[in-house]
Amino acid sequence: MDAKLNLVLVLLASPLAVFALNILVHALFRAFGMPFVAQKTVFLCALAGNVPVFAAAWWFSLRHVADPLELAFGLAFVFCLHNALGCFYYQCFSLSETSLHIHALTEVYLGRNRDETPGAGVNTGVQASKEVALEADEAVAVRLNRLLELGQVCKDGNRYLLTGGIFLHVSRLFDFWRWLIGCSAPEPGKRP
Amino acid sequence: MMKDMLLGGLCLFTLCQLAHIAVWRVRVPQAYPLWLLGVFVALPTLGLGGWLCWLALSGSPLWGRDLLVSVFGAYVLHGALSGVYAIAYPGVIHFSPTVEIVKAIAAGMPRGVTVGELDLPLFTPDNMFAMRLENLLKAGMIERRNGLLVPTAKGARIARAFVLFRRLLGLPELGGG
Repeated sequence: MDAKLNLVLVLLASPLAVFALNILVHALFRAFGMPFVAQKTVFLCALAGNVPVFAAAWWFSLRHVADPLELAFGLAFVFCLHNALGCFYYQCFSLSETSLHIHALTEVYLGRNRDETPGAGVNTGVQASKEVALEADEAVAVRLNRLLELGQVCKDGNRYLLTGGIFLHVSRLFDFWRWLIGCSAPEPGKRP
Repeated sequence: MMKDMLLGGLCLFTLCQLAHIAVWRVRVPQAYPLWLLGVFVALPTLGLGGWLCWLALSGSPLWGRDLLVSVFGAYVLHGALSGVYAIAYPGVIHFSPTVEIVKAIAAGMPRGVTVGELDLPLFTPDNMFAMRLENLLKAGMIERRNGLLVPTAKGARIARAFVLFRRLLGLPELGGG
């Protein structure tokens, strides 16, 4: 197989490597009884995945490339593709952790399974939307706690103070992108 | 060449973004998942497929294994970038609750804010939950049966995948939401 095809195949396997690393890291944390913030560990595992992925890319493909310019493009390709896949992996985790859509869907799914008894058939499930959904206050509390864990806010008495700027940058990027594609800003009770 | 894969993938993604912006500028589609699939998957697949067929049939010297591998690499890079964009997209057009909370705290700086002082006009029951449930019903992920909400086969498959993913990571089956 040629160097290019080897490189693409190595990179396609990279999310599995990150996932395996992530499982191992969480298992170690649990084995040593150490608490962890999953959003941090997942992000750091995706980032740390650069090391084995660059090593594998070098071993299976890039060491056979003689031209320095080609090598530079190859390294840039590894960087772009692995980190795009790493970002995709992190977003998939984030969906499972923070998405209200996925939360509601999983709640309905788990609700059915919990209630399932022999002969119950499919007529089991969780009751109406208010039981599926977290209350707004609870949703705020969950998010504030998550922001504290991520070090983006801190608490002084009962007041919350902003300490990190990542989400503000994300917010500005989202605002810019919304303007670029011609979407209006979301309004209370209005479907975009 | 490595250059072809890198620049090809980035150009392909940029072209699809331009098409996406052009379409959305004309009219923001309600059924956006289908439109995103059309712009970021169908369009480049048909375009590249057509171009490769044309090269093969015209006996072009460009045609060959090297070109196919380059196109494959470029397509994979485009696919990864498109996947990242597609997952971020709902946060762009709807709103991200976490981002709204951070904006509300930033507005209260340097004093900081208490939970009661957080100004969150978008946190209405409609915006937070009803719209999401309605989206799930419309997308055929859940359905109403005898006054109960139950997952459809499609919804159950997706939920099962997330539950398995979290179980393998040693996390609670249900995220914080």
